[in-house]
Amino acid sequence: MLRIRFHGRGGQGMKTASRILGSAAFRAGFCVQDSPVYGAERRGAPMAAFTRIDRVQIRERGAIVRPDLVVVADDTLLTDPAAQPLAGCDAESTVLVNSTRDEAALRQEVPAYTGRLLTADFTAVALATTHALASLSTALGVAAACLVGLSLADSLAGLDDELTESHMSMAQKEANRQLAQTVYAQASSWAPVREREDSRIAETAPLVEVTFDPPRLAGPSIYAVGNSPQRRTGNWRQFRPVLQVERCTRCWICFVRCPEAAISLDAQEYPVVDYDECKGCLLCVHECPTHAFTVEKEVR
Amino acid sequence: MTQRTLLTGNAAAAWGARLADVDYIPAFPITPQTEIIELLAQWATDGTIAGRFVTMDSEHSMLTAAGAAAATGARVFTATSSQGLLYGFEVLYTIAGWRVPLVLVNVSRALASPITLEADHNDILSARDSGFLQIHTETCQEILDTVLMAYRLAEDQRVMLPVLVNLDGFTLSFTREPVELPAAAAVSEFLPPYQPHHAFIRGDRPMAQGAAVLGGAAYSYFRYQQHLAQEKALAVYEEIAAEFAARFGRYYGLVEPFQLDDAEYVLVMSNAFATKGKAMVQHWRARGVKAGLLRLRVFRPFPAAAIAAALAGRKAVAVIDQNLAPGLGGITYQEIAAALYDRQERPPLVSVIGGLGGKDISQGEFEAVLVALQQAAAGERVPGPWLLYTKPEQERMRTLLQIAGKEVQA
Ligand code: SF4
Ligand code: SF4
Repeated sequence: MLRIRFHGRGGQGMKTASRILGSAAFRAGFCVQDSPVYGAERRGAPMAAFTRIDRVQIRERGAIVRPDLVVVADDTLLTDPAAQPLAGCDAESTVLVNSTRDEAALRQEVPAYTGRLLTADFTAVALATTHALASLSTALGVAAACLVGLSLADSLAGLDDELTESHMSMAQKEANRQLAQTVYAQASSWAPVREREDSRIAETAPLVEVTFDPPRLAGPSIYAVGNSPQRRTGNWRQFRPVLQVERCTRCWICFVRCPEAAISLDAQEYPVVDYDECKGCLLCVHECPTHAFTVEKEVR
Repeated sequence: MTQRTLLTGNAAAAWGARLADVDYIPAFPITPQTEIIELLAQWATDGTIAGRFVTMDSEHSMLTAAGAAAATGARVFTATSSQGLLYGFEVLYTIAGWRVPLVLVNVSRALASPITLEADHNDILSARDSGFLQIHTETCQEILDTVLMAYRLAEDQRVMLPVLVNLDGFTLSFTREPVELPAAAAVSEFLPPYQPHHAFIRGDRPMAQGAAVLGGAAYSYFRYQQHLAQEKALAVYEEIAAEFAARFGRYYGLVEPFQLDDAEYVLVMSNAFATKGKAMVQHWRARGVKAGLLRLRVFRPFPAAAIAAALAGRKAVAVIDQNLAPGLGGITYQEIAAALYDRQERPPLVSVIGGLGGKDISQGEFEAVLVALQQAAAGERVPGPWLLYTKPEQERMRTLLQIAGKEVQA
């Protein structure tokens, strides 16, 4: 069995990527299982999706704890304690990171990881081909399909299965197909991911007895006040909204709509984005009636 | 023509309703069920299905509308989950009491508090005394097939009771697997349109339904009739399962034995995590351990005889409950123990609680269950209910408590 785990942020399309891979493998005649896991849905919050591929019926459920291939939609997730994309990875794993940085730079962030690490700037390729951020799912789904050894024809068929269900225009669908071919060609230069020899699903951990605790511990109340400001959402951001103040009419729509309350008003009642908290969902950009926000790629 | 495709559990449930050609779908969203009604809403809007789709203001209204529509003679489908099932709870008993057939899909999600999204079975099992029949599923294919079988069962004149079909949130609801879609023509041969005989609306045949009764004798009569119909449903189910297998090539018994023939150590599990149990059985068999698994499928009526026959004479049996009745233990354990009580060869039973709130049951935890089974077989008492919990999980829990500002001893 091949076990592939995708890590992304809500809105980056990693559920779709896992399905593109799943459909491609299904088209190639394999038994397939794919599934996402997320908490209360929230744009920008870390999520994961899983694809399992085998020649026989799959007898596993839920999260993949010992992946053969991990696909990471952006490098800020590598060290995110909520995402932990490298959990369960070992010397036999392959990790593919969408990043503008090179392998050496990424390895410095995750020194304990000893397996193969591949990286490329798929966002740039996706934007150049389709001009739509959503196509990152196409790029990473097809890259994964290539890495597990599926053919270009099966990858495209899998992509088509997912595109049929979307509300994209014909031109956008065609652009996604082109992107798939470009990415497939690029990913073909990497050696494919091989199946593991041993069938162990995960390390086994010792069991413990759960004993009585007083209700002060045993009830789901939180006594630590104000620890949520410690979880800044600014590092979730891949794209930054930048206000072009001359176009702003001070209607405050962005101020009201920002889901993270990351927009405040200055003394003249113009909106100000707090980049420590702005998660880059770009809702403000879409909501602004005068198109007063421009979008810039975040460079860290 | 049959067609093989990848479907989530939710999509499989929606396909079941579509192929059953339902007349009426009252709906209210709740994670992780919403995808079912989204799909049906889409199909109702674009004309793919002829049934009427109506959004309601709560699960209580939704279930009231569902029951009322079934009482007019319509074929009704609806779906909910967890808190939603509980919110509509009183209506479950009402509908069953009306003796009208409908199919309600529940997507299992653990109950608040603390609030969560992932599966365990305290939601569905809370409805075990409602009068609804109850069938629990393990795969996406089984979900679709079971919705079809459930209509046959509900509408059978020997039964005439509503059916709850359960699937697990996330591990099935959002999980895609290969599913064979039966041809619509074959389904309509298996499941012809519903012909109501006792509850319908016709201008020339006025009737009152769901009348009130005072004095216990009338109530006792009606309530006990529900029980008798449930008992009849065991044999009716077997007929339907055999016919379904003959037509579609897939057989679903009241319970599913897995590698049980010569098994000495048996796991009893239900729903999606039974898949994990089966993988462990294969793993143990490869090691020379004679292990097997009994999957609970039809839970109401409770197939006590089939369960007792499958478990009697084993060296030891572990019932893994993905639910907890605080102050008692595992719910299915209690019922299985009762089913075995008057059997001569009743095996030692180990009561295990695993997978609450969707917690994984890891390989190590299954191995610990096998050790406990061997101890029980050797005459050692294994105290239950025994909660499966690992050291890393405990450490993580302590960290969370500390972050929450609680004084945790090392
Ligand atoms: S400022 Fe804009 S991009 Fe940033 S979180 Fe608010 S709405 Fe989203
Ligand atoms: S929505 Fe646009 S115009 Fe309105 S306050 Fe915000 S930036 Fe200015």
